[in-house]
Amino acid sequence: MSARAWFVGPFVLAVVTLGCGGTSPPAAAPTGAGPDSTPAEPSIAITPDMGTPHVGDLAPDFELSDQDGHPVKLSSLRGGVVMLAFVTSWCPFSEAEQPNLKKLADDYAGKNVKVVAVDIKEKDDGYAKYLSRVHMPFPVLRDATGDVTAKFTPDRAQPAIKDRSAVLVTSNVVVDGEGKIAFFTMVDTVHFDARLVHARRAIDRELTRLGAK
Amino acid sequence: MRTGLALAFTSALAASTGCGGTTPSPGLPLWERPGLYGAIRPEMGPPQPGDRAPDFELPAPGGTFRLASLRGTWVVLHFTASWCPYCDAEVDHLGELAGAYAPRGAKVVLIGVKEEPAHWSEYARGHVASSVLTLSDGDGAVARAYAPPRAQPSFEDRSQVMLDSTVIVDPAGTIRLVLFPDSKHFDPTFQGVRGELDRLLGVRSDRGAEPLLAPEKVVTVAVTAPPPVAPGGRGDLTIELAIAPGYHVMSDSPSEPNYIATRVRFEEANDLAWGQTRYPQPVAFQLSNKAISTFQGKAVVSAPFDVAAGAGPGERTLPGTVRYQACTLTSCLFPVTRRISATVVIAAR
Repeated sequence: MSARAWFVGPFVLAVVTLGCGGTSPPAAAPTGAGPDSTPAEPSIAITPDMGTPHVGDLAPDFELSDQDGHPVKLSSLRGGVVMLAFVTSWCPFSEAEQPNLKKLADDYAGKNVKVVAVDIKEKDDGYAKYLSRVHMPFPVLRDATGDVTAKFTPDRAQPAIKDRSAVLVTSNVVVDGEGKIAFFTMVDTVHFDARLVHARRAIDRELTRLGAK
Repeated sequence: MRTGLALAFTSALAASTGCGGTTPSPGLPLWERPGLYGAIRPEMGPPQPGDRAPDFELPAPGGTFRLASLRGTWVVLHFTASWCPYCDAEVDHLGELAGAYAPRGAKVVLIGVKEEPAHWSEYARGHVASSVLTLSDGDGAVARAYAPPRAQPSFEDRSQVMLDSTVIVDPAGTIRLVLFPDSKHFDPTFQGVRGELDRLLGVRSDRGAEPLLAPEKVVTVAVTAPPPVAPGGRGDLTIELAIAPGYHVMSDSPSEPNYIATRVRFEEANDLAWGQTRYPQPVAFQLSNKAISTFQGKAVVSAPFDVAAGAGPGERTLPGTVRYQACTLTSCLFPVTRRISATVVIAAR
């Protein structure tokens, strides 16, 4: 029945693109998908149809202050692998991920990996709450306006969300030794990867690439 | 990329055909159906579809609200928090859903989870349509009662598992759907919930068991001629458009200039002058964030004509066309122009 071939109404497209992440073909599974039971599909990989920035692009540079008031500039970390975690105190997914983010930092201590959390658009009490929950032995930067985070938000991801920084809550970005985005996921509320299995694989891959040079 | 999207959706539609009841047995399980990828899975534990919806009492304007008081009604429970941007993006559309399904006997209840009461009532006043009943689950106990023990096991605060989730409760008080948020296919306009409601309420939609109709099949046209008209007299052709259930066509005066108006036209004929075609009152169709002007069900159009004073007696076959563009809740079909004809008898002088 060819009726389905006519199925191109403008409303249909509008509806579909709201959830653009899911309509693209699945991203390739990380090479050597691990022995654990985590699905090979990395949470929600940012796909090219979401616009920029995308994997392979230079990560937008920024400078923000950490919990001790020290400025941290992303480009100053060039040469090593950077794990950027966009977090908030109020997001249950961020909360569940928090101890695992600390564990990731502990496990990669002494390797050429820098873990950096970016707390998005919170008031003093929210930022303090995030810091007080788990001791984070790495910079937890404060993006009080959300402007830095919004620079990372792909322009066509979740267009229904007006506050563009909110799109990236509980997103993970791995930046490679050249400052390029090597891994970029948004939180997948259906297959939530609280243990950061996929981010760890990406970090391992980038460390191998750095070592091979 | 557009092709990719269209293709992805086409295959999703194909996948949705042949779905059966709430139980996963016939066809695809709920969580593999478009719009419902966040649906609860059996391994998450209770309460599951088929289980009794945990009853609860929460303070409401003018007394206490009890879920069981809505027995006999379809209920859509949605759990939210004012601080959650994804939830907030949905709230407007929840009002539209409430408005659209109220006539079909469904009540929408919005539950603010662990909100400070004053802050919550301010949020509810400013952000939530009055068609939605807003309740405050201050200590999160209601959300916890609905949170299946093995959904998002990494969440310590179990009430947070339900944020941005939707539960459909049937008139008997039985859960029919638990839908968790799916950020991968974020659905702020509740298309998934609407499709499932349509299915449960027995409204035909393309997300149910049936594939889309060919555009020519959406409207059945019946033309009725008046009794014989004397020369110099006036007659009315009646063109009845029977629109398939679950479909609508744009009205004769569509809401946007680029929409295709429904038009009935007859060709010019000797001895006959057409008057102004009359169309019925349009029906508002709620499309995402606005209402559009449509015809649904039965639309009766009349085409008046004057017979020339000098017209000779006999039959006249009058060819014409009906042009329309049809949609369902989620899909639109190409416009079509259908040929029709009418036979008018001109009486002897």
